[in-house]
Amino acid sequence: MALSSSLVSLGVLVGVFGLLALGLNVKFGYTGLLDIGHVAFFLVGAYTSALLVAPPASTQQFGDYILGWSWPWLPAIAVGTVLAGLLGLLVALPAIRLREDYLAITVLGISVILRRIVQSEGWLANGPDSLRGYPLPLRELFPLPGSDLVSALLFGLIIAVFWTVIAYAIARWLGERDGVGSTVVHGAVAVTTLGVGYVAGRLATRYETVGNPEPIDVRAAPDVRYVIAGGLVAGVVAVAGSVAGAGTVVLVAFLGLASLFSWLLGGVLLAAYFSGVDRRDVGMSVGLALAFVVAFLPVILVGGLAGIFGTVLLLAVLVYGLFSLGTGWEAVESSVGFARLIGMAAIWLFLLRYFVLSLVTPLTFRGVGAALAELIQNVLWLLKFTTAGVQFDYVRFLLALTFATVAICYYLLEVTVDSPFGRVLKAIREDEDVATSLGKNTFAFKVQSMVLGSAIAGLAGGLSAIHYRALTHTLFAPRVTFVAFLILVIGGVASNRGAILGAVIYWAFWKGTTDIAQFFPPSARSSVQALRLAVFGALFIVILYYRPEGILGDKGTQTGGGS
Amino acid sequence: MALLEVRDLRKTFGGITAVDGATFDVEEQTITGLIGPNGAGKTTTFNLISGFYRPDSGEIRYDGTDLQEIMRPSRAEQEIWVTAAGVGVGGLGLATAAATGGSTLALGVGTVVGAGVGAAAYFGQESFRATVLEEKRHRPFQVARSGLARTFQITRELQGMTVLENMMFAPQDQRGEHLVNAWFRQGTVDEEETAIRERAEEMLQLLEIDHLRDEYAGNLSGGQRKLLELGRVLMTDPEMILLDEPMAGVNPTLTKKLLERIETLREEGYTFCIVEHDMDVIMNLSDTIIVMDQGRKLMQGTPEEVRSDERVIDAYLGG
Repeated sequence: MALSSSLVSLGVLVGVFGLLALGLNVKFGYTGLLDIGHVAFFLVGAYTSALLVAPPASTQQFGDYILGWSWPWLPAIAVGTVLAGLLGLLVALPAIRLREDYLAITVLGISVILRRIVQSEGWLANGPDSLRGYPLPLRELFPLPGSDLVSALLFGLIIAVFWTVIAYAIARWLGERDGVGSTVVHGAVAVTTLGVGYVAGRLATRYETVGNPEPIDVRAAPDVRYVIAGGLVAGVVAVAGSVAGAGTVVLVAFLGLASLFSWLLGGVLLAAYFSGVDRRDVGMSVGLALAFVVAFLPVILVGGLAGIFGTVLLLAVLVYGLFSLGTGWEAVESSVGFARLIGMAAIWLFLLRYFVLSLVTPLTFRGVGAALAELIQNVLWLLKFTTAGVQFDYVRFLLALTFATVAICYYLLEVTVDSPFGRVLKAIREDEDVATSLGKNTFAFKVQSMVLGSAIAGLAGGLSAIHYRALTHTLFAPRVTFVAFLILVIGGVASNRGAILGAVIYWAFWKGTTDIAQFFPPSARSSVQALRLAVFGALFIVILYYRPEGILGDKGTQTGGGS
Repeated sequence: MALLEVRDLRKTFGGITAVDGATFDVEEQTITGLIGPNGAGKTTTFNLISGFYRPDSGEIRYDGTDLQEIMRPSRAEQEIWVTAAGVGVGGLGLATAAATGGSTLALGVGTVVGAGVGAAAYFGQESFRATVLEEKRHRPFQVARSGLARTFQITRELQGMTVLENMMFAPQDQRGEHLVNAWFRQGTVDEEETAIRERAEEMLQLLEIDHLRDEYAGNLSGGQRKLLELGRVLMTDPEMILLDEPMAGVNPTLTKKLLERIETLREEGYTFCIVEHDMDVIMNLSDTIIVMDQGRKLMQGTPEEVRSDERVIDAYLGG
């Protein structure tokens, strides 16, 4: 599988687990409810949606399960979400008035019971085998562009949404940069909104002065209007193109540009985040990334026991070097922190792996042409190049769907935690008696927090049912809860951005290190795979020790407070 | 009629009788001082009045209403329990109907009947506990909502929140505390937030801690925490405030200002009940002083009467 497809499915996984962690964040991060059975709600959401959309069991050749009502996905996921929320309510009630450790034990118990039920009750969800054979939403319309009108309309919708997002991003983020001239930004907005939307929007607003355009503020109502208008025009063009048989051209034009733009935007955002970095820091981070790659050369080139020994030795040297660099960081006179340097090195490593190392195999076995094709595929990651032509395949659609769901939930949760409601939750986390003494019904708020967090986990479960395509009980083992906790603590407790970042770090590490094992002899592979968990555990301890509030966490809101 | 009536209040912890038949009244729009030696039961009395402890016996009436009546289940709480009982038993009804192979109608009837039984069970056990078991209710937040607010002897600030957030948290019945409003009526909530923020800023200025508005409450000094707590309780718009040693750790200039402020608030219609060991403060401030000793009311009177009372001098003031 091409690397870009791995990246896309990694994105889906990040979305599902990011959502799961967001739900846990409501309960644990903001309200201080220790819920170590979070996976129970994930399970309920997944199985409920899957059972509702599945066709009747009698029409299936593998296995037995209840319901099978062939519902559409949207109501099925909604019901799954609501049921997970109601389960959260039921579980919370007996335990929530007691001390919080009772809640933890109760929910852990429920999660194990539910998993056992789907494992052992064959009539319920085909346990202990997997529940499979349920249809995926809109699957039959892919790959796009298709031939019929429905597929053309879906195509138009997707292009419209993508394009609106891009135009918004250009106006919002590029418009704020000092380095990028506002004229350039205006030009870019005019082009991305396909002129029409831009001119319409400009006519609607009167404040433009010739030669000195004011910065675009898409958060203001008039400016966001032409962004949406541009998206709509793009959608109409896509529908027309698809019906006229020129769908591929439209696809490459819009989504190819979108792919390029995603790299540009990523670069701009990263440059802003790492502003104040001098050349030496860049050099050092590139050096770290290269040193990591070089450490694997012995095992790849030499092989055998000597190779493994050499790699392990080099890795040890690297870890020791990092350790001494970290402890003596003040002496380095660097403009960025040590953690940021590591972050930068990780990004270089990703770029190296994605753009350079991915070309090695095609270059050695199939020549320059294949390597070039691989490079184009990796750069234009939103498109899938197949022998049948350029397509927008189902996984990429799933990524967009997950991304949109997470974005909506993220927005709602940010509104929630910034609202007076969120303030009460935080107050309960800090000191419940104070909240009570000020007349807040802490019981009702804790229950609401439980319901909201569980419902979001249920929604994540619904998405996971689409992503996994078949559900087994092992996917909902208690460790999933702890993965969510790990994600939360790494990214930053009581930070929604942190929950997403934590999911990115966890899964990027997990998937990024999967292929390391292939360099080792078969007998050692499972040990190497298992060792990754140990490395991640070590990383967890380092973060807890040096930055207990997590990467994006707020110093004042680390759990347990402390004055 | 007195605003707060306490009758024969009793509370024991294991072998210790902390409050042993305390009986007193607090008149509206007065400042009542509560003094007594350590272990006299002052703070326990506060905890009983504010609903944080369940009394063993005795009666507390606030504004003519029994505290037990004030602490009845709130509507939100009833909704939660009825929903849960309805969903739980209704689900059981549905499952039973399905297991016995019922038609769609039977499934619906099973669910509805189950939900009804669940809801009825909730109300039944509530009234059973209240009337037959005569269980003491315990919902201190209802007491605060009815206008009787308190502060804590050892300050308890919300450490991980800023000073301003601490203040803005306190006002009652904020619309944005309902999730639906917070999500779908952001304009209204924003307007209300702006108003609350203005009030909070005024209060911070008054207490002279406005320069700390964006500081985490956990970083404040002891005296500043006292001020924050006083400001926070005032933000709830109470009628009567129980202050547990509000002046401990506050510097003299500010103490004077706070006293003036409390006087002004009294003129505006607030009622105060204050536990304080600083005799200058309590004698100057109070209209009435209640002296407690060993869980009982020793005497009640004006500052002059208290100062000259033999028993009080023996037990507390000293010669």
